[in-house]
Amino acid sequence: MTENDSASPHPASVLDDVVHHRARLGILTVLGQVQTATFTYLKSLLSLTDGNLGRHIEVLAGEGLVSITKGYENRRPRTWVTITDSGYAALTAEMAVLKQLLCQFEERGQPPA
Amino acid sequence: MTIPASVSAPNVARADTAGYRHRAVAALLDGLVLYAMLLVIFTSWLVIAQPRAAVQEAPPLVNALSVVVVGLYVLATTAFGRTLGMRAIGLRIVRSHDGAGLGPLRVVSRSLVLLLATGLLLSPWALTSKGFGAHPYLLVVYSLWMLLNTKHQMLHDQIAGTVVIRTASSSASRKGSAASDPSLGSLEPPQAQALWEELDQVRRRARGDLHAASVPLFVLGLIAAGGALADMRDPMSFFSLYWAFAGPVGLAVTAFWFRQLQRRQGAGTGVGQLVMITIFVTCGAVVSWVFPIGGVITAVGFFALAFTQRSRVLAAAAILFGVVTGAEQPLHFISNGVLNRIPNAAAGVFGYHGSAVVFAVLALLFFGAGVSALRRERLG
Repeated sequence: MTENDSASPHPASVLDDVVHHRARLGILTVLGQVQTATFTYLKSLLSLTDGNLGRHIEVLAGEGLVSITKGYENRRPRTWVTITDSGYAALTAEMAVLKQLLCQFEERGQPPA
Repeated sequence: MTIPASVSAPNVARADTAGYRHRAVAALLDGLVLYAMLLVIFTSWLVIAQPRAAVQEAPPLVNALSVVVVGLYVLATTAFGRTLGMRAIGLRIVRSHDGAGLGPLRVVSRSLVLLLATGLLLSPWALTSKGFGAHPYLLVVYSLWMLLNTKHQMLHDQIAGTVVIRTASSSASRKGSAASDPSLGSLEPPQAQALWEELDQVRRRARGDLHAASVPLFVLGLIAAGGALADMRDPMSFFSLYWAFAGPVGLAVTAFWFRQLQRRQGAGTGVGQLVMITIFVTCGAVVSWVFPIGGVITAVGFFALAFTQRSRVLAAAAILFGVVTGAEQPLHFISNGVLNRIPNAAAGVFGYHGSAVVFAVLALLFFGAGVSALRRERLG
């Protein structure tokens, strides 16, 4: 899955990128605060569908940014997602890039005095 | 995005090794834990055996038990790769040549050399009934060993072939690895702006769900209210006894509360650090139980919690709590001060229970701060 993402360019790239970033950065942002969260919590906070969230989490886990623990609580199956050290690093780096991007836009957008 | 899975450098560099300050703080924390454990052993022997002699000398059995406890502590914590003190500071013991975890051989040899060295340095005094730690200066001299070599190794590090590294700094040095994600650059300004705002909103809601400030503030309020009640009881000894237990119990309640929150809503802060803080505060309370500083120790525990949760409100509350309790617990400084300044007006309200009034006010303040923090956390 990881190889697919990096090797072949996706057909609907830009829009797909936004969705991709929204979900992936969203997951990392939430975990950056709470460290560990259940699948259900992430789903409701980020308003994603089961399949969508599952896929994104698998990609993140494949890159070693989060770790997945499956278990039971009160006889109900639960999936816990925990951010790793690399995940923290990636989150910090990506937010820095995004902020830099916004700063550039702002500078360019300012009318010449 | 390529990120190395682990930091294990081929050879641990000097920059990664923990310096004198960090190791000293870790050693002091470990010393606190060990001192508390030995004090518990010695005190329970006093209570159980009730020796008649004026100068009590512990029998060989008690001394042997102490040595076993210290040995097990060193061995077990080394086997986990870090002592409790190291865990609190963010240090880890690794093999010096490749930075990997320790095998059983290194664990045993490092622990044995450390125990032998410290035991030999302390033994002339330990044997003559003065107890442990009679001359800790020699341990300080021993610790200077690490200034003599390039990797901050002590004698036991060098013999076992280990080195102590900082885990916090090694993760910081990794931050650059994911420096730029080219696909982010393809975003258009409005999309980037929307993404930023959305992430900010999500971050604030997740942060609010931690209840990092409100829960400890409510617990601090309960502790202060309990202090007010404890002062209403007549014997003064009850008041000081209360403060010896307030910190450990309060922090344990906070940890339990956090854990329940995490269970119920499916996300929450890990309680690992809080458990560490609770352990050290408990040991501090045990060691200093004869001194009237239980309230200050409680405040230090909650300040450490505020530090780990990055909550400014809680930090301010902990400082206020420390100042008020530190002044009120031993000498009733505040209530007596008010009584002396305006005797007629205050006597009616304060009566003989000035501290109760002071702590009741403090409790109301913390409950108010807790409610306002909760409201902010709910809004996200």
